[in-house]
Amino acid sequence: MKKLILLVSFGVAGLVSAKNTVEIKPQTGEKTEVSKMQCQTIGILVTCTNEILTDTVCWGEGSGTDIYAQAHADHIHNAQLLNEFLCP
Amino acid sequence: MKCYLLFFLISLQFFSAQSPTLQSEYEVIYKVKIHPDTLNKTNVLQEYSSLLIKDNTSLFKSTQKAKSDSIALAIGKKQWENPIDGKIVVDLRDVPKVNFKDEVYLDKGKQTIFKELLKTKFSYPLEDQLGWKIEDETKTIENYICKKATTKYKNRTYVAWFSSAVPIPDGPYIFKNLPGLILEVYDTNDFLRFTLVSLKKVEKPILIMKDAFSTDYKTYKMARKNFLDDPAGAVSNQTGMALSPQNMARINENARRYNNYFD
Repeated sequence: MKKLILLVSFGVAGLVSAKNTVEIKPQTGEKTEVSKMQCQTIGILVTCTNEILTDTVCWGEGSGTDIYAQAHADHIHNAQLLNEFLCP
Repeated sequence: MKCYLLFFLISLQFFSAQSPTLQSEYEVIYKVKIHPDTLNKTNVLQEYSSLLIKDNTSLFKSTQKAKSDSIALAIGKKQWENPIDGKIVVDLRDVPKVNFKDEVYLDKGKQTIFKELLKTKFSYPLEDQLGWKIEDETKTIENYICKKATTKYKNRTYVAWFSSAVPIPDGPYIFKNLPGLILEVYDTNDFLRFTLVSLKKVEKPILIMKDAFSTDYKTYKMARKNFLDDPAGAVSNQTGMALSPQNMARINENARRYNNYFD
C-alpha cells in the first residue's frame, strides 16, 4: 500500500512538474533577448494640460528590466498613472 | 505512512492548481456611480462592472479595466513603433478611464477584496461580515419584485433591493448573502450606488487579479495612509520620474480631493 501511494505521488508530482516546464523562446521580430542595456527617451502627454513629460526607458542587462516588452508595459503603466493623478 | 500521505496531498494540491480556469454561468452587469469628493456631489463618476457567477464562486470587477489596459498597451505599442519626427510621445487620450478598480472574489462563503495602490496590488479578506436586516418594503426593478434590506458597513448605512425570484445570494462589491440577487444597493448618502443593468447566462473565465500582495485590511489602510501623506512623492517614486513642483502640487491636490473611501 505504502509503495502504491509513493508511486502515485511521484506520478502526480512528475506530471505537474512536466506541465510547469515552459520553454521560453524569443518571438520573431520582438526584442525579447536579455542584451546590453539600451535606453530610449519617450514623451508622455498629460491629456488635460497638453504638457509632455519626458521619461527615459531602459531595458537589457543591468537596467532592472530584462526585455523590451516589459519596459514598454512599464512605461505605459507610468503614462496611465500620471494621467490618472494629473487629470482625474 | 504519514509522510507518504502528506506528500500525496501536496501533490494533489499542485495538481488541482493546474485545473482549467473556472467559467462563469451568469454575468450580472451593474452601473456604478461614485462621488469621488463627498463634499462636492456635482462630480459623479460612472462606469460598468461585472459580476461573474458560478455556483458558490463569483468575481466582481470593472468591465472597463481589462479593456482600458489592453487599449493602452495597443495604443502605446503603435506610438512606440511610429515615432513622429524621430520622437515618441505616448498619448493615452483615447483610453477609457477606470474609476472603480476594486475587485471582490467570493469563494465558498469567503470574500477577498483586491485593491490597487499605484503599482502595488493588495488582497485581503473581508473582515466584517455584513449583517442584513430584511424589511417588508418592496419595489420593482427591471420587472423583478424586490425586497428591501439594510446593513451597516464601515460607518455607513446601506440599502439593498434583492429579488428572491433570482435565487442567487450574490450582489455587487461586498454586498452578498441575501436570499436572492441584489439588483440595487446604495448608501443612505448616495455616495456609492450599484444598479442592475443586465443579467445573462454567460460563460466567461473567472480570473482573479494576479500578483497581489496578500495581507489584511489594516496593512492596506496603512499603505494608503502613507500614500496620502505624500501622493506626488509616491507617484514620482513609483514611476521613476522627476516631476515639476506644479505637477507635484497638482497630484497632491487631486489625490487628496478623493475622499469617498467606502472600504
